[in-house]
Amino acid sequence: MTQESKTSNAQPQCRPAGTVVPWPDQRRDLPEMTGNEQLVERNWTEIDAWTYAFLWHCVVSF
Amino acid sequence: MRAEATERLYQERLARYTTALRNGKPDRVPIRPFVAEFTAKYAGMDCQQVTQDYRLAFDAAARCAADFDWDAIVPNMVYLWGTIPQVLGTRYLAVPGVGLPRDTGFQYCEPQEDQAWMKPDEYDALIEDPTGYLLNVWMPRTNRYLVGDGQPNTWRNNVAWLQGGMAVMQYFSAFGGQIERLRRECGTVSAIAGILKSPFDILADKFRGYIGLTMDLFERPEKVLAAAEALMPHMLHIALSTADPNKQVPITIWMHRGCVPFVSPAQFERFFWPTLKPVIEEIWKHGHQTLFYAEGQWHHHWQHFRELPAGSIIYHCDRDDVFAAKRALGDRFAISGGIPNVLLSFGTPQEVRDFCKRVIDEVAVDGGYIMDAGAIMQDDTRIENIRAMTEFTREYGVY
Repeated sequence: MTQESKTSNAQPQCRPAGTVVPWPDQRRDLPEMTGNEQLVERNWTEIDAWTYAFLWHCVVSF
Repeated sequence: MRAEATERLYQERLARYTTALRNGKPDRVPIRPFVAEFTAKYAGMDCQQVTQDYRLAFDAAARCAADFDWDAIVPNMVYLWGTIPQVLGTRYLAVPGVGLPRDTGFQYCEPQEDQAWMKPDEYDALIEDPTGYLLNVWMPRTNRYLVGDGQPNTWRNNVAWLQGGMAVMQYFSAFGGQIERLRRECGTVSAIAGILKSPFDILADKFRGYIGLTMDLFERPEKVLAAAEALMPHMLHIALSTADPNKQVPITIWMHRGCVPFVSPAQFERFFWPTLKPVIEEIWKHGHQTLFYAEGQWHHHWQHFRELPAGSIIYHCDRDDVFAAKRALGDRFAISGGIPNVLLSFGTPQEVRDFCKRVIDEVAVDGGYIMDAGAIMQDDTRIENIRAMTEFTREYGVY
């Protein structure tokens, strides 16, 4: 049985350009990292960049 | 064999276009018209079709590129896919066929000053966390299906975020295929990649409104400057993340209301330029040029643009005097555009040819010029005038 972490609803304290939920904030929400953390981080960062692009393109492009 | 010939044509055009962009002298003047709703008119469609269905917009652009044999075009200069504001319930956009007549181009609706999308007491929130402000305040306020932070959730909110993300991803992902199609079908170069706006224009266009922002320049100038500075890294990030990976075609900055007489020279120097110039310089450090799509007249600020590294921008003339622009900027930057839209809409083909001759003789004379209208061409542009501009430039604009 896996232990689920409690999901935080707190906004990130620092959101650099290119991020909506920066990896350190997401990392804190995950259970114990038992495998390759870089793999998880890379894929999280990619989808977070899409999310960022969506938000900012609504302002800049449309 | 045909595929090889088309690819050869593409490479010739790419060399011609990029040579001119870098202020060099190619074999002849490249032709790169920014055709928007004109493509619908030429292809027998209306504004609704090319706004509500990007596949039709792609078809219309490709047909124009093939028939006119242009060197480069924007893959879809109509640029808005009407489904995106529809799924979000965007309040500031009106699209043809839904509220607007189907033969009218889409419109931006700027609210009254007291209804601005950003309230004057929200500067600190924007400055502290621009992305958070977008997510939690601006998006819900500008899109009627979205619910703001702390408000009761709705099923439409859930669906709208989902559909909005899917729609933007679908639309942007389709551009790769369109760029490849233009190359494969007619050997046409995709003219630009990457988008930029000045922080000042973003504040005016999308947050405070023009009137609200100009009042803020007097009532809370420090906040305006801090907000523009807070937006700079985000403008840079969007520009670089959407730029041409091959660094051949420029990022485009669409310049709106940061110039005299919308602001004073002193306001330009205090707010607009210091929050844009470093972004352009950083883009240049990354190996990308920026196309200054200078809507309206920007001649009051040409001496500031000269501060930028030579070759870092291409100056696009809208209502500026293109001959004066060449004299003021031509030693440092390539020039594009300058053919008056009013001439292309209401003039005769002979008047268009006469004006193009003067531009080729006086502006394109040593290279560093790209033939185009002053502003994007909508469905009031006469087809015979576009044909005259194209054919005359191809025949006369040979070095």
